[in-house]
Amino acid sequence: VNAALVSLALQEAPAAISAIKALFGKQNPSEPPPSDEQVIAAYRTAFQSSLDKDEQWLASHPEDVPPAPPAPAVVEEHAAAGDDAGSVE
Amino acid sequence: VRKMFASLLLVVALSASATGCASVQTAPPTLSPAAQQAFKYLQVQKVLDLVRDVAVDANAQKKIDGAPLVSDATTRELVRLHETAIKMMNASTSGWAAVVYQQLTDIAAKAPPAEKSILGTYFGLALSTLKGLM
Repeated sequence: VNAALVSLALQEAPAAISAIKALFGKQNPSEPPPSDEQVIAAYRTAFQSSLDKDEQWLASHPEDVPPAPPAPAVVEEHAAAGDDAGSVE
Repeated sequence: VRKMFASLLLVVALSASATGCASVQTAPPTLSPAAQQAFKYLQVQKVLDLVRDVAVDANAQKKIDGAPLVSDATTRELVRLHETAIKMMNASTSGWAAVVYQQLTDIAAKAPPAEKSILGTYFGLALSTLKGLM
């Protein structure tokens, strides 16, 4: 379990750092601010690729569907009509 | 490596808990209102992506007994919530952050302790970010 956790930590560290920078970071004043088009395009791309990732995971991990309930037994007409042909007179 | 990661998580946890809610980076004032909103949504989405990605990656990691670190069931709930959340945010659905906050709280509450120990800090980060939007 420890090895798996360390591996997971290594895998997630860059994303975690990026998210923290996004939350708490300050823009370098020497960098030119992004344009409207750049920001909107970056958001649209990130939105679509993130949605795609959700759909890929869900498609590759289908939920276990419980087996369908058995079909109701067909009631034979003569039985329904009270036909007691099987009885001994 | 473990020490570094633990320190990183501690920084996140302390930062989030110190303020009670995390606010996203302020958009540059030179942007138009639409671009400012896209900028803000992108920051929020990164946090939501992080929770989803950690769950998906932990689901792919197997323990010695072959079971995933985070179950398919928990991962599925988080992936579905992530999908709903970013779609609602993108559509600027009124009250979306409160809805997602509640659902994420419910998932966190019913997650088994072993999964909480892996995902807990990320839940905390996402919840504090969402709280900042409510």
